[in-house]
Amino acid sequence: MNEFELNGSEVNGSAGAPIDLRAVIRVTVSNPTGQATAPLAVSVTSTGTAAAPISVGVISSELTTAWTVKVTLAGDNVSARLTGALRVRAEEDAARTAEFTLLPSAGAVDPLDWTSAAVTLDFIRVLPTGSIPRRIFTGKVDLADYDPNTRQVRFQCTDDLQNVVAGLSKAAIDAIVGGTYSRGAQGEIDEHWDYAQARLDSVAGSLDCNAYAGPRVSLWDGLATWKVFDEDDILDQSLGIELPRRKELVNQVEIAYEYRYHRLRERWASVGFSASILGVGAYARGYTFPKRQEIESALGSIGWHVISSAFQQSYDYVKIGDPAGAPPGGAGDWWIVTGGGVSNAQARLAQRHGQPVTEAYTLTVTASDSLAANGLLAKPLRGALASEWSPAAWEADMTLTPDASAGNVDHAPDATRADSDAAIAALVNMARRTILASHRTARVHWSVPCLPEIDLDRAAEIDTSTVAATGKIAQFEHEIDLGAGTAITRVAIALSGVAAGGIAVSDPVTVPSAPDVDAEVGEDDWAAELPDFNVHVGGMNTSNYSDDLMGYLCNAPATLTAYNFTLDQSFSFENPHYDAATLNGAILNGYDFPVTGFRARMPGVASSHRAATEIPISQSYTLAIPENPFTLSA
Amino acid sequence: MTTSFKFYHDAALTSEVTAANPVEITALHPGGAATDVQLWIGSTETDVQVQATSDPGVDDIEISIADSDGGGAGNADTACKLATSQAALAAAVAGDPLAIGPTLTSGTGNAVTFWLRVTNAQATVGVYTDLSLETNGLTETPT
Repeated sequence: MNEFELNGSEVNGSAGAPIDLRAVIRVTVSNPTGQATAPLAVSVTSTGTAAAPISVGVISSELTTAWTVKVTLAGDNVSARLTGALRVRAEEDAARTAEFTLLPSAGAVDPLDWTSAAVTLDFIRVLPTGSIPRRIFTGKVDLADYDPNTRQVRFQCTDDLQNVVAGLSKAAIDAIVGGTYSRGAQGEIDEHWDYAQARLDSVAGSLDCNAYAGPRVSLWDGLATWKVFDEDDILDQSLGIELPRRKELVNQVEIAYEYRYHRLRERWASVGFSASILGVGAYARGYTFPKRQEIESALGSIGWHVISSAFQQSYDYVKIGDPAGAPPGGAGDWWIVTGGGVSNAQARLAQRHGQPVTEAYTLTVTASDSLAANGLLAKPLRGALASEWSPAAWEADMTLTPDASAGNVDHAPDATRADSDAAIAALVNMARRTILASHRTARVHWSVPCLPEIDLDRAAEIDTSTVAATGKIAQFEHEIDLGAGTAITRVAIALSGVAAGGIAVSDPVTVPSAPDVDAEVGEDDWAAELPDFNVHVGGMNTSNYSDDLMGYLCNAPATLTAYNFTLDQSFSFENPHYDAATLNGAILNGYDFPVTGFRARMPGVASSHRAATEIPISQSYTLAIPENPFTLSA
Repeated sequence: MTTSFKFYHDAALTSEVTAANPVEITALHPGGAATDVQLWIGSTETDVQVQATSDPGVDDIEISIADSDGGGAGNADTACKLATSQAALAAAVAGDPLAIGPTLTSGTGNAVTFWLRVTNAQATVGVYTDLSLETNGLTETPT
């Protein structure tokens, strides 16, 4: 901070002279340093309400005689230039389409400009007191076809079902379509339309758009009847039926599904070796001991992991007293030089092995009522889910997960049990859909004056003297002819049923319990086969040679050499346990081991626990076919 | 600012309910049955949510039925029922609002669907636009 004083100029003078004024002005100029900061949290928010206007049009009759249509094209109302007929067609699992014809304005016409333009069609009931618009189509121009002879443009439009669905997120598809998707049942799917179709495979319903191009799934069964049509409602001679062909029926689907994974097992064992220096055995072998490296090498080559180990070194010298014939003198004891080695060892061993397991499911879904009425009409369905994971690294490294020390583990990180259960459920639902779809191909169709409220998510009843039926609306078509002044709707309902009627009750889609793999492959009692790592000495009756002898194998030397420290003298003498008659290279009565050194071998894995195994599993499901009322009268 | 959460005719949130594109009910009188309509509320924005302004995150977001002429021409708000499923409409109380939870998150997958049932009591042929659906005050924030 700087500060200074500014004095005004001094004016001197006598009386009457100007007053001497002295003004002192203090000006303080501060020069702050530093930087001003102010924390600022910005949270973008907006407030308001959402609103949805409701238009209730009250009519006294659905047989509207006064009507008009409104068509918008690329946002413009082009209704005044319409000519000829308009058609809107809707069918289950298909895009809704519309056609109309325009007389374009005079001048240049470029039909390509209209391609993909937004289109809406409203059917409007005209009342004395107003009009009731009802949306019957929302979509895009697929083709604008100009006819130079008539100078008219015929528009073919689609609600773009496939692209609308393809543009949705998978989460949105999940919410709209429902059902299930399973990689094991349906493979890897990236494209969202295919993903929606895969989910739909397990839904007893259809995916299509409403009049606002909003995709929705309408279930085939369980819809309340929206409207009853009687003879007064329908147009003359418009009633017709289409019955299903037997060859189109499927009443049994046999699913062959395989789930492949690895069952992981671990073995843990504690082993010990003791070469007691006491007793005849030690004497017989000349007081030699296995070297630590020898033991480690043996344990390291048996296919087990040495988790921990402990070794106790033997004495370098062992006092043996006075052997017969040794020089006397009371000069002290005679000692045998052992050369070191291991007198005791303990090791904690572990072994891992994975077994490829294939669960081979045969899942049979049967519409038993249809089977009884129509005979067997079967169709196969296959699926598989296999883990690509290999146990090789896991077997070689005890630090890798999963830990199977507490119990066997079924491992398939890329194809889990939950994935498999989902695949089974999806396959069963796919089978159910296949059967249900084949049993609803019957149609009853008729025509009525235009009913713009009709939609595929509704059920309708026809009640005439010849046909009585109720079913979900499977397709409809509005045909509005501006020239003729007619507007009719053709409607077809799908009828589900079995020729003989059904009493079956559907089984729930339960996934079979996972099999008990160990029970399937049997016991592998390896623990009972654990060897004893003892000392075995050739030339001793207690240890006849066998390839199964484990531990330290040695032969009794013919002579032993002792050393007396006091006398500083060595003394060799015959090994009292050496039997010359049985030695000299001959293996006689188990004498003179042909193999010496430390030998280790652990129980092998039974092939039933190592080789790929397949476990068959079967389950059956009964499916009831919904019976829609359907009566024909002559 | 207004909220990006709006009412839609479809689950994909492609067709917004507006004055030019309202919820259309055609009611036959006499003899007409109630009309059920499925609607959705949601936002196509990314990573936003709304909560009731009255007590965000605590109070429920509610959809209520508004009658602009207070029972004059047209139907009263009791002509409408709201429920989260079509099956639940039967037990719903006419004219009551529908609570749809304290938070709505944007994205088509998070849109909430509900059903509207309109039972027309108006005997006079005509078009009535006095009814509408509206939410309570909403505060929209980034998630």
